[in-house]
Amino acid sequence: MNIQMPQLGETVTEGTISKWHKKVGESVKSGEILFEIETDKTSMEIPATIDGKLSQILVAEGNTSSVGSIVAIVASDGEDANDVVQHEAEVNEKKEVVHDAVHLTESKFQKETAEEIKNKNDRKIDLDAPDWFSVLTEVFTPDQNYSSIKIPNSEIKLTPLAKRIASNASISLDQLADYCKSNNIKKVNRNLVETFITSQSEISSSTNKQAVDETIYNKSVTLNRIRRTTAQRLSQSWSVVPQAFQAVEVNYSNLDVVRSEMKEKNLDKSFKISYLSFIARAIAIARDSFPLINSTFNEKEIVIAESLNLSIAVDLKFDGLIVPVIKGAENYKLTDLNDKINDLVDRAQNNGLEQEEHYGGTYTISNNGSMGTYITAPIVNPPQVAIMSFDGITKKPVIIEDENGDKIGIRKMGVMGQSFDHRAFDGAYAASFLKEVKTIIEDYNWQSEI
Amino acid sequence: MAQLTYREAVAAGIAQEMERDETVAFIGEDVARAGGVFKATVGLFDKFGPKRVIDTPISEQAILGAAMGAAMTGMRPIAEIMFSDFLAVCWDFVANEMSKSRYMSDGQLKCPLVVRTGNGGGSRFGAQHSQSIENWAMAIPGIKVVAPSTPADVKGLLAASVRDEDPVIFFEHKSLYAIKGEVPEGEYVDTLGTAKVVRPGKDATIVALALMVPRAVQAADKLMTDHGIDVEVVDIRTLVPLDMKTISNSVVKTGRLFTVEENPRLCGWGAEIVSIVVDELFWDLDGPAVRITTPHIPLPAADNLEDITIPSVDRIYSKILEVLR
Repeated sequence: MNIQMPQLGETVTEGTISKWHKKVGESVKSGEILFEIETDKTSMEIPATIDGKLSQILVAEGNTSSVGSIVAIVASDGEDANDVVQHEAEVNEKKEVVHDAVHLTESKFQKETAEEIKNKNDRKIDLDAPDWFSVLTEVFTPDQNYSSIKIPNSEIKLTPLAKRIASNASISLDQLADYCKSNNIKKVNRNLVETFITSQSEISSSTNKQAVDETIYNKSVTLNRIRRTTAQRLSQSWSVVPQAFQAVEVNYSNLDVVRSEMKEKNLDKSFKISYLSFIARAIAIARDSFPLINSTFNEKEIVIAESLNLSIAVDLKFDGLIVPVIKGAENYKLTDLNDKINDLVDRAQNNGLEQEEHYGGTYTISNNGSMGTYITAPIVNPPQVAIMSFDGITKKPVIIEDENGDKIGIRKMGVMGQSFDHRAFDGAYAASFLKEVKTIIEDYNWQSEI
Repeated sequence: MAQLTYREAVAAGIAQEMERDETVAFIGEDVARAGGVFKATVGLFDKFGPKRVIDTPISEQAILGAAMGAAMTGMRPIAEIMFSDFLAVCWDFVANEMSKSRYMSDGQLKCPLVVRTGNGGGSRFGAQHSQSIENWAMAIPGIKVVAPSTPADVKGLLAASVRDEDPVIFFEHKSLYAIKGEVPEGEYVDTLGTAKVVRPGKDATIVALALMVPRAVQAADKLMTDHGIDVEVVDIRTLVPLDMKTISNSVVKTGRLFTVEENPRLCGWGAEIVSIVVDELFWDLDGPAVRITTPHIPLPAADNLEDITIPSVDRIYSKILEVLR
């Protein structure tokens, strides 16, 4: 065992051996005085701390050495002095090895945490470990991820648990953000993220369940963001919303008279007045008597929207479908509503929409008339509960009844249909609403609005 | 099992340990011939006599000084400080002496001493006789802190405290002395540093202590009946050592943490638990941790004021409802 110069007083850095009480070769017992030292503050007798033999004196009487330096070697019983020196050397070597190992572990650890980003949100403690925490034992703070709990580039907040679940499920935060925006959700908790994951896995299971022969389907088209969102929302609607479809045939002949008048009145040669605007206006008027069509359904209740926010389905020249929104559509008469719709559709097709114009719709109109379709059964756009479609409007022979009996006339006819969430209301209610819209289109005093 | 009151369980626990070990002695103001001002030590004097059950003058320093000396010299004394508020009078012994003796003597001295004391409000005793000071004790390294909520826990944890090699502050709740419960007969010893899930649930976790435990359970039952909200209640039982394992497992299960604390809000024990949970279990939280506490004010003596100050069943119920809805 190496005997070191002890520290006598905090500010002392060295000491002088004033006397050795033992000679080299003499045996010593633990507690026996081995030597005396003097410092600039004090002098003291130093006892041996083990039994053994004083094998070497390295600092002679009267000489000074620094605190901690070796002044003598005591071989414990049965130990050779040379072994002692060697043993000490080994210890020093081991210390260096340990130091290196610590160093290595630290750098490896840093590298791993940088790589395993997903694991950063994981709990680092083992809850099953016995007594992993106790105030009386060392407080243990794991390396943690202090990143924000907002979805990047959005104002949507996730609870820490929701974020961890999302991260572990490897779901796209962009898609989650889209889902939240279209459902007007500002904060995501465990329930919500789990619902979202379920809806995602329904999409992937429904699209993946058929084995595909890759020699037949051999050219893949990457989904853009609109396609992805559309797929997700429609799958959700199809799997969750029990929907029914009804249609009526509408006589648009009167509208042509009104449209001609409007075009004549308007000096602007590029003025457009579409059937879509009349239908939108008719829905707004009819809605006053049928508030449930402008609502949302959850498992607990139906919540009616006071404002009619019309989503207008716009095709982007086969490059996807978007549904920009006219908020508060009930506040506009026909002419203003027409201006609004024309402007919105125009900007939608030219990528000129504001962010908020994508969200907040409460009822959707889909127009397939320009393609000449006869009838279209649309899919409800959640959280909305109903969607209207109208199709090709063409001249047709129809039976006209008057006081002279039945005769055949030529009228502009088209089919108008509505799909609705059957959980929110029933067929009679939906049909009555359709009939009301039809009646307004055919018989309303449109002159009053131009 | 026997039906005992909380105060009878105190006497039963002390008697069990005094019978088992003759180095256990009991000292305090009016504890012997009068059986204690809260009648929690009735019968001990008759059973064990004046050498082991000792009345003292009104001097908290004398009580703790004598008990501490006896503990350091080989006995296992139980000392009573009548109201926990009065620990302030002899706090030097608690904070500087009994809690540090083992450490500073490198284990040459130990201090196996139990300080029993009446803690908490609800009994109209005013600002100097009603405080919940378990958080003062928790702040001192070197002592263990126990606060049981049931008669069975009183007996079992008191026995464990007496057998512990270190000083223990044992907080009995004054407003619980009259409650009754099943207590195991015969020798019964519990384990310090173990919390208990007293009501299992899945939607949120309440951690509570002493008088707040039965109130939390009542609130949880009402939340289940009225709204189907299923709240788990954890009785901490001992603040030091703190059983974070039980608390954490509950929080991991439910994702939500509420503390119900009778101590005043600032630096209450719940703050420490919330801090640990936020540190260790942040990614398990499904919402902010919420503390329901007595406000940071001296406790009023008036019935109506004291009742709205200390967390009540209604307050726990409506706060949790407000947060979880």
